[in-house]
This record gives sequence, C-alpha cells and structure tokens, in this order.
Amino acid sequence: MSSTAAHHDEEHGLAHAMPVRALLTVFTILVVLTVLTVSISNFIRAHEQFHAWGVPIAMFIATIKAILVVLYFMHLRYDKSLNNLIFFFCFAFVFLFMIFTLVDSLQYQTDIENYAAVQPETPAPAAAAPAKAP
Amino acid sequence: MSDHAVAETTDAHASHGHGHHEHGPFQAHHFETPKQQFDAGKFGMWLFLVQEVLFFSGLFVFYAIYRINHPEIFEWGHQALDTTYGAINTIVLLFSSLTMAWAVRCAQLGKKNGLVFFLVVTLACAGIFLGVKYVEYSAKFEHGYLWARYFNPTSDNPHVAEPPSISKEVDKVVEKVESDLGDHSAAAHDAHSAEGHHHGPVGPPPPNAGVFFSIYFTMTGLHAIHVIAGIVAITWILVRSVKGHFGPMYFGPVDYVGLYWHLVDLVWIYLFPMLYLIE
Repeated sequence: MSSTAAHHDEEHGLAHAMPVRALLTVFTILVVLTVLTVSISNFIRAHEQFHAWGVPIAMFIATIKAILVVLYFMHLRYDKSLNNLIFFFCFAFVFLFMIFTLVDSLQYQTDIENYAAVQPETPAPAAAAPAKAP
Repeated sequence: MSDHAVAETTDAHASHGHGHHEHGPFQAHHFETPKQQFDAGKFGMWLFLVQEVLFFSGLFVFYAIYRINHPEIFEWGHQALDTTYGAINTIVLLFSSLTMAWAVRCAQLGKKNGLVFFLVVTLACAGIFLGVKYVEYSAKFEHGYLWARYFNPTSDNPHVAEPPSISKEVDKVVEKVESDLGDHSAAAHDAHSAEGHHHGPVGPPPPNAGVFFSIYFTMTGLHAIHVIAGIVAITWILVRSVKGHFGPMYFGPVDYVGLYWHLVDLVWIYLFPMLYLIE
C-alpha cells in the first residue's frame, strides 16, 4: 500500500481525510449493489435452472461491498501497512478456520447418514421433541 | 475496549502540566507527539476489530457447515424472513456508515457543527435499524418461529388462530410499516404477492427446522448487541463533541468508534444475503 505517498497528498492533521465526493460515490455504489443482489435473488427464485448460482453470486457481491467499506469508509487504503497486514491476515485465518472445519465435517457426514439410514422410526432426538402442527 | 482504555489513560494524565512538551489537553504524557498517540490508538482498535472478526467467524463457520449438510432447512426457513425488512435495514446501516465516515472527516477538519450533526444522524439510523429488528422479531415470536426446540409454528395461515391483543398490535405495526415502506422496494414484493402481507414458508417444516431460527436469532441477536454497544459508544463521542474536545490534532476516539461502527455494518453486509436472500 502506498500509504506514505497518499499521506503527503491529503494530509489533514494526523491522517488522511476522505473527500465528500468519494464518500458519496462509495455509498451510491453500495446502494446499487444492494439493489442488484436483491434483484438477482428474486430472479433466481423465479428461475429454478439458475439455483446453483444463488450462493456464489450473493457472496461475491457481499464481498465487493465489504471491500469498499473497508478500503474507503474505514480508510484502510490510506492507513499504515501494518494495519492492512493484520486485518488481511485475520481473514486468512478465518478462511483456514472455515476450510478445515468444513473438510472435517464433510468427512463424517456420510457416517451420520449411514447411521440414520439403518435406524428406522427414530429421527434425530431434537426433531422428535416438539409436536409439529400439520 | 481499547478506545476506552486510551481515553481513560488520556483523562488521567491530562491535568498534569509538563514543562518540557507542548501537550494538548488530551495527549497522554507517555506519547511524544499527537500523531504517535493517534497511531497507537488506531493500532489497538484494529487489533480489537480483528478479535471481533474472529469472534463472529465461529458463527459463520457454524452457518456454513449446517448449510452444506442440511440445505433443506435453509430453503424452508428463509421464507419466514421478509426480504423487504432486511433490504431496508441494509440501506439504513450503509447510510449510517456514510454519516459516520463523514463525521470522522468533520472531526479531522475541526468542523464541530458537522461532527455533531452527523453523529446524531448516525444514532438515528441505529435507532431505525433496531426498530425494524423489533418488528421482525415480534413477527417471528408471534408465529412461533423460534429457536431449536421452542420452534412451534402456529399454523400455515397466521390469520386463522390469532392470539388476541398484543399480537394484533404488532400486526398493525407490521402492516403500517409495510405499507409505508413497501412501495420503495418493489423487488421484494415479487416473491410473495399471493400471500398478501404474510410471507409464511410453504409446506411443512423439515426435521430440525428450528435450527435455522437458532442461527437467525443468534447471529442477528449478537449483531444487534453490537449495534447497541455502538449506540453507547457514539453517544459518548457525541457528548465529547458537544464539549468541543475534538479537532485536527485530536480526533482519535471519533475515528476508533467509526471503525467499530463500520465493522458492525460489515457483519450485516454478510448476514443480509446469508439469511434473507440465499435459497
């Protein structure tokens, strides 16, 4: 990140101040992306054949929005490299957390399903407890 | 929270006069310059935000695992959520992020009136967000869409066996808010036009359907607690702004609270599609 270069351009006291025009532009893009993701969701709900695309598209748009908020509203683009580093490393660890836990969980899911298959008339205990309204 | 720690240290040492340095009233004496104090505080705030992200990530992993192994629960459960409310709250939070960032800018430039104005607008947005959440939660409680084993949907048609008084009032509020706000987001109306105002899930619930609402209430509830904490922090900043504490050489607390508020927005940016949109 070229934080030192940016500092010399728009130094106001202690840190970079975001111009109003930039703030409004980012906000407009965020609103447009929100409307877009809702519209795409409704479109996919109406068209079964695109069902598999729902999750990736929604998460992709959410990630673009998150990056915009972090870079401009949170000033990270103009912040110290150290702050950039710790924040992005944090997401690397979240990624590891998710991947390893998912791999582990999927490893045992077939065992659970096999077990459930040979246990007729006994659904999982949590499902049996509340009386379902018809 | 680290910003509190910084502030207390600052206050504790503010009254000591030091001959050898030109200290501002809020500069702690162990910092050489205002810039050093600001950078230290900001570093601490980023570490706190990293902790917050890791803290929330446990719930996101829970969601991912449950969703991959039991997609039918999500496909059924998310129909109980009203996309209109979710979309309105998303816009409200994004707008509050804008006003918070603008408030930080005003603090940096020493514009006291602008700072106070934008903090008040941010607080108002936080209030609107919690108000909409209250209406949403009330509807869930009323229809028995509760967590885990308390999950007990009343009926497929919520108008038939309606319990009296309180729920009627809630329904009135729901319908009023919907009629007030519904026109502005036409997108959300397509999916449930036939049902009128109530968007109940179609068909009987799959086994363990309550887990969806466990996830819903845990994640949105924890997020709402963060919004309340944000309201407290912004109120603290607002009081200090009115007192004229902040200026170009001392605006750290405004910036740190702003960072926290943007993180709350960030979490919601993911929660909205995960709970309301995806099927």
